Amino acid sequence: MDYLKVLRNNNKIAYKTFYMGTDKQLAPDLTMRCVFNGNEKCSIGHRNLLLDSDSMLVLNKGTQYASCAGSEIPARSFAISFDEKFVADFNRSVRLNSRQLLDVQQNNGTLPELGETLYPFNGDLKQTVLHLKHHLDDGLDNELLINEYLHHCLITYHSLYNRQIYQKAEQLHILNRSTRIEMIRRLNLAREYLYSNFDRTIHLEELAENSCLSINHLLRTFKQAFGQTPHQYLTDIRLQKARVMLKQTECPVNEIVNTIGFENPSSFIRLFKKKMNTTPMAYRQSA
Amino acid sequence: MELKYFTLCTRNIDSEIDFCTGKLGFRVFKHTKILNQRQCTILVKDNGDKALMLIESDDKNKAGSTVILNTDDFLKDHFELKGVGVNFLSEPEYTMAGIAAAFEDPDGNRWVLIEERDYSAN
Repeated sequence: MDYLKVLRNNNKIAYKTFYMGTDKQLAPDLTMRCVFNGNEKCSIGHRNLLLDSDSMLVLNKGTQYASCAGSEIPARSFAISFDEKFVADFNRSVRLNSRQLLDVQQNNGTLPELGETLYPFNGDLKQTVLHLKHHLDDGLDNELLINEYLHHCLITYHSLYNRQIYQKAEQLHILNRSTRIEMIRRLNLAREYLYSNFDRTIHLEELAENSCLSINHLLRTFKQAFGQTPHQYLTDIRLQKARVMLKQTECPVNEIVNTIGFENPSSFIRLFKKKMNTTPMAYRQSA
Repeated sequence: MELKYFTLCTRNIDSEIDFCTGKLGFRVFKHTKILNQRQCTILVKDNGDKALMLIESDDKNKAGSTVILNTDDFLKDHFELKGVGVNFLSEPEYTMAGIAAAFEDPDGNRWVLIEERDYSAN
């Protein structure tokens, strides 16, 4: 059942079913979006992003975006918008404990705009969101408890941001801070392009063009930041999708291979075995 | 053989029973005596198959023990425990095993509330 919950401190939580029609929206505040059924296509300007059960999209306050279901299956999206004051309070508490973030965060007192991208949806953040959703589905009304979950969503997002953005930026061999920030922004465009198009062949030229970098510059800086080539990064995304499908569905391996964009079953099995030290079928049976 | 009880020594068994039943949701299963006819109380939780045995300690300077409480929803239980007056020693901590925080009972025994999480799929 769809719902919109607006708390007294103006934090908002929306659970909504999307069909094929496009829904244009404005992120009212810092927003986290994830889907629990099907997948969702989100457009932010020229960026076309695919949101599925393994990914989460963070949107900055005021970002305009359009979303629709990514397949015939209706997408059930779960979105949390954090009121500006709630985020500011969180940032203050973080600054008391840590001086680790980029200057942009330190200066303006909000989570940085660089955070507006796709993230892997797993670990503590996913657990926190799942608990919250479970309680809201059951009709939880205690706003103090709901805000406790929301506070921990920010804690775990902050940690995710540090791992996915800040630490990657620190690995770039670029001394100038503003250049480094601009480079990680472009590399994020490349990264989210890989996440959103993992199921098809991606040429380096289009990846470079999409991230506003030359191929050589992309290859060099991507490896510095992420420790992998774009191709290796894409393979890891596909293998992660495969792991989820092996555990959560009964799809035959051949169908999984087609769905996640591998050229043939033998290369998939070889790469899976190399990564996981087991075969796809043995992995499925151990689930 | 199987593990039967977790024992917790206390210098004041009545206040420990009050804390465990009033704040932590245990109920008294029975009062009994074990070796050396020492008085003890067995506490259980309705949602678990483990039992806690409180034993009155004759050593007034005995250091506190540690009990691990597992939960499937740390934030909810942490919120509820704070609501009934349990004082946590620190803010919740994200660890390799999951999310956890510790508190002490009136007798100085340390309790750790933990939600174990499987990160292997990440």
